[in-house]
Amino acid sequence: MKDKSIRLLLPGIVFSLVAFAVKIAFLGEMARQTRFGLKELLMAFVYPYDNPFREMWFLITLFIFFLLTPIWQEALKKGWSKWGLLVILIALHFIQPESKLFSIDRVCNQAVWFYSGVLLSKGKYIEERIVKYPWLTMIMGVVIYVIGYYTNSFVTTIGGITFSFGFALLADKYWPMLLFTFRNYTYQIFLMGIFAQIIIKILYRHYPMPYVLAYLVCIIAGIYVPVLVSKIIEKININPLSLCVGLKTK
Amino acid sequence: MKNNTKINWLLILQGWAMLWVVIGHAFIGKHNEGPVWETFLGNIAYSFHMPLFMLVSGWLFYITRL
Repeated sequence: MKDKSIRLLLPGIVFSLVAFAVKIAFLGEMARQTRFGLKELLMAFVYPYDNPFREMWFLITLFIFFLLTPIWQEALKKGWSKWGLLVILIALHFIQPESKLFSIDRVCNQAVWFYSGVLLSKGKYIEERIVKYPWLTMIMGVVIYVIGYYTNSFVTTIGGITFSFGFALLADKYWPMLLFTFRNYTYQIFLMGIFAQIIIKILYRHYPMPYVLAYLVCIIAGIYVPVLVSKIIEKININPLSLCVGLKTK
Repeated sequence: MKNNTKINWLLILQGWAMLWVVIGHAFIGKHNEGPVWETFLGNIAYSFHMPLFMLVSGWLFYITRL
């Protein structure tokens, strides 16, 4: 639990401070204005979605899921409680409280997906059944997605996830090295990518270039600047620095 | 061997989810005010990218913690 706390919360704190600094340095360029003070800093953690580093809500939400470990463990012990909890979390997804305190609304909204991951992993449904039908899984994902588009966003999400599983299984079969240039650094991209993208957006405003080009550069920078920074930090190999960007220490 | 395969497709899934997170953040102008294709890609990204990330997190959480 201690290592998870450090790996989630330390980068959260570090990048919140960086985000405050960036927001203040480029005040006129930002869509969401912010002030910096002790109160603002504290509130950024109490109400993570108002944090200038918006991704903080995800880290806090994941941390809360880790704190709920006894509930997941207890639920998985019996069949009725295993599926019962899933039903409760689906209901919670739709009737989530409005409170943004410690992103409780997001915790309620996302718990069903987190727990679904736990269930899928435990049941080995993907490795033992779905793996044989990647094409069918992808097609089903598209069909569910389209149905969801005309009915409910929850169904759309299921469609997107189903398609993604099919895609990943298919890629594993025919193109196993797909996305290898960055797939080991997804956490670092999540933490740092937005900063690289903000810089590209500011540059675009001052040095006009074709929109499509700026968009592509924004995607490439959002992925590969964090990868580059991570590789440099890995090379330097200073443990506290690695922890600040969520890298595993050696 | 089976373990390696399992990890590999999960890695691809993580990379795929991350790609959509970056696409979701890549709008150059104001959100939902750019070209149609940008809004289209953004809407696809926001329809599933974070739930997919949560699901993968839950998956890894079960493997490593439960």
